[in-house]
Amino acid sequence: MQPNEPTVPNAEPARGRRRHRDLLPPDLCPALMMKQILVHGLDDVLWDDRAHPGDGYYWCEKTCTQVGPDDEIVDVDTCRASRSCWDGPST
Amino acid sequence: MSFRRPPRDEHTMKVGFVGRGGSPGVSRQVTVDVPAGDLTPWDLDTKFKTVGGRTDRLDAVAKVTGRAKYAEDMRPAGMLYGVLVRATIPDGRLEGLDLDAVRGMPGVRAAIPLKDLGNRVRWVGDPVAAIAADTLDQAYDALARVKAEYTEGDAPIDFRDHENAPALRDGVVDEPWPSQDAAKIEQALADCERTAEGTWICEVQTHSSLEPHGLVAHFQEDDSLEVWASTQAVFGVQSGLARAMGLQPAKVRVHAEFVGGGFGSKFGPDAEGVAAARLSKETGRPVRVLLSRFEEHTCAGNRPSAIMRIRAGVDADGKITAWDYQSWGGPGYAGRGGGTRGVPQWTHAAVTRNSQSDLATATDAGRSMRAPGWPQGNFATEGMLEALASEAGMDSLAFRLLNDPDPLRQMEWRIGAERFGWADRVNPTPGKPREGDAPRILRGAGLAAAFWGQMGRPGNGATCRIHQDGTVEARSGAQDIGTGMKTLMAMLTAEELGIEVAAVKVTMGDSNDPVGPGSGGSTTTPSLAPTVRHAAGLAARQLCERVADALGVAPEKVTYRDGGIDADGKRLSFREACRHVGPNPIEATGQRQRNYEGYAEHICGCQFAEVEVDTHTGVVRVTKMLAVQDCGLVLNEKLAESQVIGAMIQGLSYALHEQRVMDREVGRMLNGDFLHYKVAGPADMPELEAIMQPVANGMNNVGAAGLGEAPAVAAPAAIANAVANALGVPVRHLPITPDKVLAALAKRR
Repeated sequence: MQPNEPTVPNAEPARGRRRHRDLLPPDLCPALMMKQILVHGLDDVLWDDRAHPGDGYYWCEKTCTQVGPDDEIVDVDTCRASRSCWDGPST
Repeated sequence: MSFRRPPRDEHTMKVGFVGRGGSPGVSRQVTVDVPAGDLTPWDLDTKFKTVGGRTDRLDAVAKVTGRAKYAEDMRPAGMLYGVLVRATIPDGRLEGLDLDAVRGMPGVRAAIPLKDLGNRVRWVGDPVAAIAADTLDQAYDALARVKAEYTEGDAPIDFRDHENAPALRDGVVDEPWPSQDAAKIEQALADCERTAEGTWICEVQTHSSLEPHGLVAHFQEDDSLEVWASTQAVFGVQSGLARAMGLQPAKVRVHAEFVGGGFGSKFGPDAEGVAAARLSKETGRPVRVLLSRFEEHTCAGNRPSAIMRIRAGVDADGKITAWDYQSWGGPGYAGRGGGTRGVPQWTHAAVTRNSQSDLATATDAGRSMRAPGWPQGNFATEGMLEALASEAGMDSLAFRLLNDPDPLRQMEWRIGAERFGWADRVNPTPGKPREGDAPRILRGAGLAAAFWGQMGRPGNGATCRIHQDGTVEARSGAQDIGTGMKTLMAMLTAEELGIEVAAVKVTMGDSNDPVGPGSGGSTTTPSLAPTVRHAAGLAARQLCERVADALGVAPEKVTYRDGGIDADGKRLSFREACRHVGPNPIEATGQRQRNYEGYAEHICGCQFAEVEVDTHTGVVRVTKMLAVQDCGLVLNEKLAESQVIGAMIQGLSYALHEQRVMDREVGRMLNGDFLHYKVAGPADMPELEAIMQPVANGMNNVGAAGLGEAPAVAAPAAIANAVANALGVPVRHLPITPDKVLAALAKRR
């Protein structure tokens, strides 16, 4: 990708009819928090189905900052089961 | 009160709005599936006794007399003062931290690390350790003695210095457009009759809430935690502290009865909240950590900076047919959340391309701030509309009327234009003094659209209690961040029960009460109002049952009507009926159903601004602003106007004054106080007016929308367009400070 190529192409807000839960990865760490979880329920049908819900503002409830226990930035793409500090149920 | 009695029931109602000022209204019948137990939705034909009125804010006297207690005011016995040790470099790693020297200092009760050695430091202000002491002075004395050592990195401070930042030449992006989807947009632009292109830049705005972030935490002997927080999300703080401290949420009780403002940055406990809890656990005493004003500016989030460029075109009729939008956000160290956007209706008939990149820097991370991304994007979008209108040879208002497909905003444009006196206020010769003005003064007028879309969510509860003395309580665990939600809860309860507002006592901000929403995205009112109304309706039904029992009347012969009860031919006033309640009050918990298909999920609005510019000093003064704003059903006209006017003031401040100034070498904010970070004050206030446009929305049993965001979207853009009309040349860089005005004038010459 060239430096100025779009990272979120055509992220125009649309009249989405999907649930918030559907927009998030199924193995998203339960410690990842975002504004939209607090103002919308996970089963709320969202008006805005842009690629990255939550205005891009995420924090980890283990640290209550935007950095996880592993000292890395938290966000909806990286807080998955593969991360060392993942706080989901053991399998 | 009218319940839907079958398990589910179809209900037909009239939604829309009544025409005003010669513009036609829109109304249509919709049939919705109302779940069992919900109340009949209010619609266009509903007559109100209390709702829609101008009831004064119920807690106004408590607030102005100091009776209202905020987290900042809490001083539980034995309380310690906590402070955070913060990084002094913008980028690097923590290599050494010596807290032993401070642990023996006078008054110091605890000193704990918040980072491990080797951890990354991401901005000047990144929390490294926390100290608790008997007094704040002792805590700061200890803070100054902490020794921390770092290895330093070289991450950029300004997003314009990022390796992927666009090249800027004289403030204009100077590089090729993206290759993705190029053929389609290039063809659309080639087909346009006229096109325009431009670059817009916004600097960082800090939240600047009057009450700082933070909380007072008290670990109890039973390992429960009680906190008093300044927050926009009582249950976000509860959930965060529970997980961070390894407690069940029920063991964390959060109080936020009064909150001194929040614009999107107060949803969790944050580092300071966790530090207070940990310090309290370690010392066994309550600990207060509330940020200083410098920390507020540098460590509590912000509205990110942005660079936006647009090229767009119109057809021979002046209709927008091509729209190419690219933006770069500067969201700080997290590198996410700097996206921007403009009101989407303008491009409904156009070929569009939107692209967004974020550029991470070694500065505090951005957070949601009042319509996140929209004021920036709308500043650029509305600036482009002005350029296109000019290219098309059209008046700004006529251009918008031609391109705006929304009948509601069409009416709002016309109402606003007439009230504002648009035709007389626009400078007919931009860049020249108007007749009668001093030669150095230029005047102009501008306008911009407002937009938001949110009708609330299910999953909330609210309690209504009716006591035997006729008093009523309405309770929610959600917070009133200063918008007036308590007053709305009282009005909704009074309306449903047909009683006076003064008979209703409202309690908010206690996590022991039913769960309520976080206050963000304009969701509190639409999420909570239907719940509160539902609770009152359920309580009224219980009151009927108590009366039926007491009078020995069949329940089906007892009905609630107009603030009283009809019981088999006998009429009881509300107070008379309440005598049958007995010592245990009626208590009902309302629920919020899912939204129905009503009028529309979005709200509109528009704003007009008039400015005068001193061409000798470059100082811009806004002299008048007018908003026409809808928000579904207007629950309280006075509070709604207050919300809109507040957004206009904050937008004025963003447009003309607010800007985080960083030292680009050492990464420290140079104006992190209210002396040097200019926020609009009383002397800056223009004549402000808000006209509320009610809409029977019908999407839930109330049909009200929130007002936090939409009016904030329009204000900066309207002011910027007014400045352009005055100067005859746009200033496409917020804030529009005197140096930029003088530079624009010099360039024009």
